[in-house]
Amino acid sequence: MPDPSPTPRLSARTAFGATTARLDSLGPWTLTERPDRALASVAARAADPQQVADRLASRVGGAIALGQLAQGDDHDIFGTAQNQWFVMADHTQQEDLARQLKTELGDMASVTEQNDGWVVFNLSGPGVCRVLERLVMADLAQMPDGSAQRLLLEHMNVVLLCRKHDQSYDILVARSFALSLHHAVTTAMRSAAVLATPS
Amino acid sequence: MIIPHPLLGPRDAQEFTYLGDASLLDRPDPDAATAAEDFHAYAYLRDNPAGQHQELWFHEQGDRSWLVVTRDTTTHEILNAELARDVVLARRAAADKGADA
Amino acid sequence: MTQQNRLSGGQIDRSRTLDFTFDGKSYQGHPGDTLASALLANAVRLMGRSFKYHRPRGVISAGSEEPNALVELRTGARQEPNTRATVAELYDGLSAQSQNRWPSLAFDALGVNDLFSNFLTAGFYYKTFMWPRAFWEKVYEPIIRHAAGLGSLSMQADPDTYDKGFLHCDLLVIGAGPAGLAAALTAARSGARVILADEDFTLGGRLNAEVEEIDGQSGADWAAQAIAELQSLANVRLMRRTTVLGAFDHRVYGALERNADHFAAPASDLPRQTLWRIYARQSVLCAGATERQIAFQNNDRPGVMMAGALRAYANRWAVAAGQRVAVFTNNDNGHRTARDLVALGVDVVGVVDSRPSAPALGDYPLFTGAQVINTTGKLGLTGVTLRRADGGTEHLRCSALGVSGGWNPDVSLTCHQRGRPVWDDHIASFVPGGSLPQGMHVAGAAAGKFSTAAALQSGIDSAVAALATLGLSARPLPCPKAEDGAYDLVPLWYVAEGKGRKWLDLQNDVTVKDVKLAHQEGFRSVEHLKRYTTLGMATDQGKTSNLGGLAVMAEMTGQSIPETGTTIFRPPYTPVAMGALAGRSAGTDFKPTRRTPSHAWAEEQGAVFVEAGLWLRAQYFPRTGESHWRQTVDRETLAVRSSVGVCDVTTLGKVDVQGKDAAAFLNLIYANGFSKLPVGKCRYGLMLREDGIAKDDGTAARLAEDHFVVTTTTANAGPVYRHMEFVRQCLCPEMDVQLISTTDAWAQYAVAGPNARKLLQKLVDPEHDISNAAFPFMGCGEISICGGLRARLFRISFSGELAYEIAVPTRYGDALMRELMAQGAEFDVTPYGTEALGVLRIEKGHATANELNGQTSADHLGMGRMVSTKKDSIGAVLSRRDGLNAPDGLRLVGFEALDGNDLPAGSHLYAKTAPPTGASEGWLSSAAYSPHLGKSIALGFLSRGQDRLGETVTVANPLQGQSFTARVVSPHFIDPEGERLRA
Repeated sequence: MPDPSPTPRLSARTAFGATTARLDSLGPWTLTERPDRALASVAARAADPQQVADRLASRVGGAIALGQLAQGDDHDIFGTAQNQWFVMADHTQQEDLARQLKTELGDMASVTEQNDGWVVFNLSGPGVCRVLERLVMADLAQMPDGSAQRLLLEHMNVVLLCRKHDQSYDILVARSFALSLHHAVTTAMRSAAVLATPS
Repeated sequence: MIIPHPLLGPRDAQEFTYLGDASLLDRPDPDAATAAEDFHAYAYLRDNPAGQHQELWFHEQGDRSWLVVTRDTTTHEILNAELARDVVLARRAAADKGADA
Repeated sequence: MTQQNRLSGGQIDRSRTLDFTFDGKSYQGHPGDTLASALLANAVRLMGRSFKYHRPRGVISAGSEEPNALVELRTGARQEPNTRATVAELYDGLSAQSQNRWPSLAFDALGVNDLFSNFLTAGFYYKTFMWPRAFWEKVYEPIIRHAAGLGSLSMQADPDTYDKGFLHCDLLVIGAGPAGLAAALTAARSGARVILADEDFTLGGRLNAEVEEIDGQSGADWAAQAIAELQSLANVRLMRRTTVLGAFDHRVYGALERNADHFAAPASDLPRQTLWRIYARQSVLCAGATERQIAFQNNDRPGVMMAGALRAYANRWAVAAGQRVAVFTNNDNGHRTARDLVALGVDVVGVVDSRPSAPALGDYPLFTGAQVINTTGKLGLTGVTLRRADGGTEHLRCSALGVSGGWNPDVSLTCHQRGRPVWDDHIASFVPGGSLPQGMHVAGAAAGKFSTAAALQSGIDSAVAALATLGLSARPLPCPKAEDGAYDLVPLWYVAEGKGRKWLDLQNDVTVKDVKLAHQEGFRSVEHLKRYTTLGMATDQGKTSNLGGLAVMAEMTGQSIPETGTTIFRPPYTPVAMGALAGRSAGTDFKPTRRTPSHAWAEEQGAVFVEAGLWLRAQYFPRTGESHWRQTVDRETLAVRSSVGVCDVTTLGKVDVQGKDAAAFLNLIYANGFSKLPVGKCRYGLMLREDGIAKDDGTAARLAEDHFVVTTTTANAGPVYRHMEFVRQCLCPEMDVQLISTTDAWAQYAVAGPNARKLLQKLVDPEHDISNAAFPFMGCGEISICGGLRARLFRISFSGELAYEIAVPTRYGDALMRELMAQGAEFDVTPYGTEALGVLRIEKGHATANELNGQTSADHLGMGRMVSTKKDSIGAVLSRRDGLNAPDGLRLVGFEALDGNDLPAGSHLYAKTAPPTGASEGWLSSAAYSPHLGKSIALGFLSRGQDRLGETVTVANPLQGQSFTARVVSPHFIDPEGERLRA
């Protein structure tokens, strides 16, 4: 993993304690750890939630409703609760994402750095819903490109982002769960892969 | 069970944490002369209806909202689900209006 | 000679031969066989012994309702008891053993039970094994458990894996017989999302078992064609070998898919079974019907089976259950068995039809108005005796008898949401009632529509109706042309003649006489009858027997069957392996595990880990030469007191509290005040429950006017966050405050000890002054370390020493720990674990979860004065009630051991003058050996503790017969003035 650390004295580790991102391919599917994602949460304060929503929308070229993932050039933004969003960016370029957002939004919003609060995985490959249907309760057919859901995955609270239906999904989980989430997803990948093979 | 979340649509009850009777929304006035008795009733006394029951559910694995869910305890039919925050604000607005009148 | 009972035709693949064994003997069968069909093909009729009397029993059905043919399948760790041979798909190398017999199936010593059957009637447990009471556990129960029972467990861990998953559909079709296929085709062609699930490995239901034509082709061919079409559609999911087990609240269904039960062992990574949760907007239940018995004397001999099963074995599996066959029926349907067997060249010795005006429907001897009154044979049927209409008797030599007492719609799933079936006189059975599970429709035989034409039509109609409720319009499938034959049943539940036993429930050995006896003894409610006689309470849930028992009961009460009661079914539809319910959550995967950022580093140090909630935390770090954990913990503790130690405290819950009203919000959730806390300062906060009991504690650090970071205890992080959201959304929604958890975002380390500042000064960037003057006790701030890395520093102390907690973004946590160790080498810096953390805080008298255990108030904790009376806070009002402030109330104090013994936490406390029995005066909540003081110490709650300092008390641990003495002291064993932490 590229080391974005401003200080050569302290080098970053992935959520697995490694220096390179985890990558696992099973059958047609790939699970990739994305330590290069920066994250910040934004909650609108009481005064003017609409203006916060508008400012965020301008970053991705369109409004972001609860349950939506908007993919912009530099940012991805998804709604996680009423008047609450998560902003994702490139960690190598914008490790100070939270600070940037706070500077822009000021007293209109409460901004919290979440770079390392969550670990981001991408699960992709053709027909990947066969893996996900073993993990999450969501009706995946009703989750179009650019949608977001926060839900349970093997007793873990995750955010599921659909980048391309049945093709590519991000899964976010609290960082300390990384190994358990990885285990759960790769186990389901193995199950789905062997079941897809005609016996 | 499936809970019809007012913002997120139908969600599996597994995503929620149950608290109990929605009377917990009506926290008594701590400055009232009867505060001790009021809080005793608030903390301990609950109805246990066979039938419609308003209760609090927390969408812990979802958007972290507290809901007031109206459920028939005999059939598990869910008749209504609202954001607790909206319920409280509406009640307080109505009470204020009543006080003004 | 092998497979001597094999006929021509059928749906078996004769090009391959499969070898299998039953009780060690080798046989052969073909793909497409079940274990039952293959055994019958090899003329094996005796397949098991009955539960109570050890009567020889054979297979009676061809489906999942089978009560008799239960076997132990597979060997070793994969041995599974009580597998129904009728649904066990044959594979090469299959090994099955009969069960509930000793020493062998043919000679079962416990068959002696049968001779004592007069003593083993209904309720025999309750009557026989009453006295002496002490005999129940030691004598009676072991004997009964050995004698009466089902298969045995392997006593080894299950080597297989199980999976689970979630599916969604517009229409779930349960059962792939004619009704199910018609429903699925109708819905699928309309574009709806359809799941079609069937427990069988070949779809088609009775179409595979009957000789019928649909649209000019055989029923089986029509089914195969329909399945091929469904298979080709992207909006359809066909689920073979999948049993829908239950209909749950709000249109949720449980289904078990058997992925690998048709293999000797699952291939690598292949789950044995998958438990699916299906969210179905609508469903059509097409579960078919189950044939019922007519009870008569000795109707349980191997060879007596259901007429429909007999012809299923002949038509689908090309097996004659016997070379000479008789049929006993009370309806037209039973005649089909004779007709089909005659066509296949089997010798049908007679059809005994209880209806005086029974029609002749084929070329076989017909006895109208006649009844079978007895059977002959020992380990298998040799003949039946019948009473003719003219009063004479006749003996027919035969090795198989097909019995048809009529068919019962399979209403099981319609009952899972408290639905009660209703009586239909036309078919003399229960049909689904009006109160179906939400969104469920019922079609085909399950709805009492027994002809193929009616089943097809009702499947189509149900699918159209179901989709209409979703606003989807489906074009009804043109109904295929199919048979619409008569059924014409005249009920006959049991044959009156004869005093011998007439079996109703074959799996639990319940006879007509047992039901009558139960009634005579006063068991009038059907629910009581069931529990007293155990009718219908075996693993088959009485699918073949419930209605017969009800009919006998009705006769006794003189009421009609529906007046007497209904049958009720509960999930699961068929038995489910525990492993399938657990899914992947087995062993260490039972719950997820959370790891701290220093985990890998701690492993390198040889740390011993302990579970704290979901977290794994380093408990202590043993070094070479340390042979006991106490040595390690003493060293770590002393190192903190004498120089400096580092402990990973990342696991503490961290909640970001922001907003204009953040301080006001904290004022409400904490008993003590926060509004005047200056920016750059931390404060200890005590959180109460609304009933005045302490809930949690932690610190709140004010990073800005409108920004606090609050910590919670590790175990309570989730509940406290939930509580904070409750207060925010439900109690003070007007406040402008936002919460979010940041527990995982920051790696946080406690750096504690006299050299803590010196160590940190080597890391903190020079522009940040952390001298005592610039950064005093309870200071906090956002700083940078190691040349620009953003960090947060909190000067808080759990140990009582000069201490800090330093936080960096988690990805740098590993590096920070290594840097602290490297830079701390000159101070002999010591990593310490949760054990030393505990000793340090007990020495300091800091409360933790042991003290905040849900029973203690602020007053008990010695923090009564912290509860502000100047403001409202959660729990403040009730914390002031008398009960929590009694003059003789509990108070947290310290204890020093006087005998040189350890003080066991949990011990009860008694005054030295009182006998240590009965109600105690308090308890020890935490205990440790203090290497600093060189003695065992404890914290605990003692009545009026604050007034009893210096008193000697008895510390009683009666569970281990221990009693010690201890002196009551201040809970602050070290530095009560707090000079160290302010240094």
